[in-house]
Amino acid sequence: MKKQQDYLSANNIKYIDYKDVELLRMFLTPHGQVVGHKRSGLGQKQQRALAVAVKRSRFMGLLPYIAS
Amino acid sequence: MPSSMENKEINIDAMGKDRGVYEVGFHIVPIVAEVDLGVRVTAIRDVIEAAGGSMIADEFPRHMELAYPMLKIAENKRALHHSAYFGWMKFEIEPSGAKAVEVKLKADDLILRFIMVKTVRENTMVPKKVLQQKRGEEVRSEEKAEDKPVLTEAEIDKTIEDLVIS
Repeated sequence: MKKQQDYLSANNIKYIDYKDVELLRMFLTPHGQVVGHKRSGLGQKQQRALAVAVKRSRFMGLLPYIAS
Repeated sequence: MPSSMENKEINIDAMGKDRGVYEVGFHIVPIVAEVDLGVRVTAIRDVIEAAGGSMIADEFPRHMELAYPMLKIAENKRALHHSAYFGWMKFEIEPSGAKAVEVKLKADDLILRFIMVKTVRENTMVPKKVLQQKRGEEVRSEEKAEDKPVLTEAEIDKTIEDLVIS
């Protein structure tokens, strides 16, 4: 069986920017939580980079801590 | 192993001198008039250049609604802001200079909040075209393609007849 490629590798995204809200929202639940690696399909390194980017984005008020 | 140790020392020295690529994202308080935003941006750019930084890229501040209200205490007064002008600047600077920029920006009363991160020289924003092709849509289109050829009308009739008879 062919291994499924994750979204970031498939689109050649090497750096997750905290300003890129549209990209980050793809990996968030409707409540604003980061989805787990099983759901996101990302590797450990990318998942950590995603978490950092989301936290930076929340700090800057681009994403909510808790979405109502 | 004296030779390898010497190499290590040289590397550490070189790392200290290396200029890194940093980015500052900032919110300017909404009480600043849109006409005066240019002045604020120039002030931030001057701070960076005074600390020995060289600009790589930037985006002019744009008005945006914040995801949650932010508190800013300036001149002993608390003010809650629901919106701000968000902009960013990418530049190359020495680590000591980056620290100096951070201290100066912290003292600025018209900056609601800022963040300084290490980044890469290349453009890090994903083009919108890529984002439009969401994973969900791809999966759905594949599923539809698979479903179509499985059953024709004649086959459906046959299966229904079989079920009714049995």
